[in-house]
Amino acid sequence: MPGSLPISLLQRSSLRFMAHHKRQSWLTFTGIMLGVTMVVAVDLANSSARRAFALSLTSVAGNVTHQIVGGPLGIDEHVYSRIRTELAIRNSAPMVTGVVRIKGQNFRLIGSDPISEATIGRHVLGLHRGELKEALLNPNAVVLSERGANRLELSLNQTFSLQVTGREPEVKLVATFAADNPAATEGLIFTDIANAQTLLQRWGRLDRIDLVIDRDDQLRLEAWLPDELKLVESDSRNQSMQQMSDAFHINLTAMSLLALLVATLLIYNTMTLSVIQRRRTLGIYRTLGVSRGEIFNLVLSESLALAVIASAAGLVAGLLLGQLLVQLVTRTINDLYFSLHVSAFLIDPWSLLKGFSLGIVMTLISAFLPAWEANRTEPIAVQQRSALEEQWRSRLPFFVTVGLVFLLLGMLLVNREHGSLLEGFAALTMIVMGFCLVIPSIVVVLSRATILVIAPLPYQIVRIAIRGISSGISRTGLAVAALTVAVSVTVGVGIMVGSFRHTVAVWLDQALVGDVYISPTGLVSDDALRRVKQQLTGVDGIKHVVGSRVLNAESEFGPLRLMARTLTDVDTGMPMKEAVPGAEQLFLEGQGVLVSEPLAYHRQRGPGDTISLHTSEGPRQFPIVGVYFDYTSSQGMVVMQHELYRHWWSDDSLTGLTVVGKQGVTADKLLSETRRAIGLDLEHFTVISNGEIRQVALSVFDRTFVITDVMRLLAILVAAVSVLSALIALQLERTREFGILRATGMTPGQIRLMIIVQTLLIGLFAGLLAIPLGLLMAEVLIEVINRRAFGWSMQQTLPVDVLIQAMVLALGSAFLAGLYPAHKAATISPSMALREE
Amino acid sequence: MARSEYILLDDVHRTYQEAGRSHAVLKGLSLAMNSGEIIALLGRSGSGKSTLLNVISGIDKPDQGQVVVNGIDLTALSERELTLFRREHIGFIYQFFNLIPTLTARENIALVLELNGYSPTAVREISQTMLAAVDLSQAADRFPDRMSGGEQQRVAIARALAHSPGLVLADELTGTLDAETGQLVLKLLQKLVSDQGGTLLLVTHSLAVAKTADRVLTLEDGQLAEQEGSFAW
Repeated sequence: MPGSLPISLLQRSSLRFMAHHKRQSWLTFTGIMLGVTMVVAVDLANSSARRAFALSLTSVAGNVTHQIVGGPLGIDEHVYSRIRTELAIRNSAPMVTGVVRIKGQNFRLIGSDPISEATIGRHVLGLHRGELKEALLNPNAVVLSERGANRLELSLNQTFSLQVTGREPEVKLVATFAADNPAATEGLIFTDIANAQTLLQRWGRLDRIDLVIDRDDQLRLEAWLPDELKLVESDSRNQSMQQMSDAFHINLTAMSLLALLVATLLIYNTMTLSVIQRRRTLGIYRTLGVSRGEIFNLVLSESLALAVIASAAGLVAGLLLGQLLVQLVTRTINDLYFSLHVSAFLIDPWSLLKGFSLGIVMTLISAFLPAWEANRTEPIAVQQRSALEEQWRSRLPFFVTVGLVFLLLGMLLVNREHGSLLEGFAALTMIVMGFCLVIPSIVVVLSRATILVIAPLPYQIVRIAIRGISSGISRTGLAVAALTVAVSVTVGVGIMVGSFRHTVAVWLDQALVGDVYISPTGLVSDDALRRVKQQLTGVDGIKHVVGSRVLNAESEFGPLRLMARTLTDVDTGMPMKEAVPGAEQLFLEGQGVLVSEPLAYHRQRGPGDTISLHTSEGPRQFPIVGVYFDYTSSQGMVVMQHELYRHWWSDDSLTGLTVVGKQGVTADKLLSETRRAIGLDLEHFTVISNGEIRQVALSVFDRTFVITDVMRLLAILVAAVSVLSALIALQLERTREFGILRATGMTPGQIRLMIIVQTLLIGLFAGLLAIPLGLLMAEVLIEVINRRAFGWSMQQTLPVDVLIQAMVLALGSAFLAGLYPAHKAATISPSMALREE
Repeated sequence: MARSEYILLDDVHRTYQEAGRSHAVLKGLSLAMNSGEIIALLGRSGSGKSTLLNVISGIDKPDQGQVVVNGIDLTALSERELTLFRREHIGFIYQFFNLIPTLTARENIALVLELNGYSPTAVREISQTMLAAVDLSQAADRFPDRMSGGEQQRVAIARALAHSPGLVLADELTGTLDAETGQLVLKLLQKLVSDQGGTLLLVTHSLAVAKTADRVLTLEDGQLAEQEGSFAW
């Protein structure tokens, strides 16, 4: 009795097969590699951004357990000395931070006290070193990381100027340090706290006090702290900052997984192709006594070998693409969320491992069916070529049933009230998969319908081409499915982005009620903006000037944006979504606040509810009188009358002015009048017209979606390769048929035409099917994903150009993918083809 | 030499469904074939010759009846057991050779030995011996597409006999070869089978081939008949 089976010769045969069919092996390789590349690149870009964020937090937060944060004006520095003396809490360090510009680049200025820093064990700078302490205590002395100094081309003891609070004070680089993690500190500039207060013109004020305290100290502090100050846990504060951009990261990951899904279809196609090509050989194996299980394992082990190599290549390509994506991700985060500096591309081993494993698992999953198909191979003596297609066709009703169940489940998840973002993605995946399962049956119906349409016409070649689609449905169905998914992503995301852009443009028109907006270029004293307001009052052409104050305020949900506005007329400039009766009047009288749509959605607060904000007199509940549309931040914003703000925060400062012109005054005239009135102070302010803000906002919007375009293009690329592999599979299966056609007088040109017609039809079907799937996807993206991720609602538009683009993309990629198989089929030697069994 | 029944088919029926209609190929066929015997099987196209080979080799199962080969009742075996039976007891030779295109001549022969669990040394030695037996030692490392039809068929014979199977099934062995090469290949096969004491069932259209067998059977209307005298095709 034979022992266990050594299959080295079988494996050798497999390897030789792959080596002899290089193009095909490359296709499979490319499919796996592209899928892994997408996942790894996005993951690395995301993790680099997250890590940079975490590192920058750590570099300035250290092992701090709690922070004392203040109101809009920060913390009186006496509070710090009282904490140390009255409460005897020594593990505390004050900090002043602000944004400065050096040689046109943004840096975060950190003002700290070297002695206190040591008490909380924060040594990120090596501040415990005596010489550095000494250096920092010199007036105007600053310290940069070595990498930061190199980037700015600054040498030790060199004097240079900072742009801050509208001035350009000179500072001296007294020391550099080599950080353990250069990326974390590259965007930071350190100085003594007193210097920072002077540079930022925040004399006597602190931004926060960092503490390392236990539970007892926490309780004592909470009891002692003045009402306007709040003690927060360091972790929860950082987490809420991180959560802001989480939805953005999740969206990107979802797109990369969608690309992986398309890649899976491609891998399936190419693996099936390799099984088809060897059906005869596999049949011989079966005759010689190789069992079904052994053949199954053989095909799976081949895929595994390819998966390992291609996934490894995918990791390398992912590293390269990730470096490009991290720039796009960072730019978006900077535009939308918070200032983030990612200069170092961090290679997260976990991302690599995840990408590699996904490549292997997806390949094995997609190779499972081909391996099963191979394992069903009959011994050579009883092989029937048509058996496979027959089997496939008989399974179509099953696929349709399962597909419809998936679609139904997806729709149920979509319609669930207050479902999570992950449920939203699960719903989207189910809808896409459900649709994919129905596609082969639709393709059969469409093919038959097309034949009926062209029935009266004498186009035999076209007829053969169409029949080829339905008779090879196991291949063509998948090709159409892969292309449909990729193109539908273009349609869905295109509609979503178009609708979003349209909504933002309309919203900007409504929200930008002023004609000219003025904001300080850096931190200026309250007086400066107030003085400008005075200067503008009574200027020719100016109807009125409205001051506003925007700040980060503490709330029951952590820090959020608070805007205080002085509104002089009923038009609030805030398109309302929903409101209590008489909301405008209540708002103007300071009897309630407005909350932005994302805040209302995420925190499930609406008109009639209240929101707790931490005022100078401690936490206070404010009635919500309305929810307004807002696309400035997904974090959420609260708006209140300036008077109400002044009352609770005792803060009279302004951060911006809105100038409204008189009827008939042109924007240009108003802009020039405003600039003239500001006079010499103009350099300290940004004076920008309504139109310019609109333009800047929309360009930021467009930049945000560049990364989406990159992902869409990659998905299309994967789909095109998928169509190519499916067509090659078809061509291989029909070699004999082409031989007969050539032998009976069909010219190579006619064969070529036939294949091109077939591929164009595949493209047409995919394009047509991508439209309903894309519309469905857009609906889910707009109404579910974006809503759950960002809380934004959008007015759906149907840009015709997106639909035309989808058809062109589907036809174009199918046509290009068909050129090679058409050429191969046309150049088949009739005698060789007819010798094939 | 004492002979025993190596193949015993009793009342074997096999019907296929084609386009919704039943097509009976084997209708109560019975056959007894002795160990070491060479039988030629004749029959018109579509008469069921290949079906009969499939049933005997365990590739196909009869709807009714019993198939016993070397004392093993094939109708009682599972799919996997049938595969292992085929691996150990059967050697197949086809009209179109059916060599593995990605393996060399030597490797094609070695494959069945590996499948049967021979040691690497034995695999090497037997492959070499078989190559020498079919006079192809010089072509050991050539791939099938670099060989003539006659050479490929000789490799196929070597592969079929390498593991000394009890039964060799040859389907149109000489169908694609010229008369002279066909005769050489046939003689070689018969010699090797007889050297190993094996049993050979030859499916053929060729009278010349049939005449070299111990017995000639004709398959007609799903039944076997002993053929004597002249042949009609």
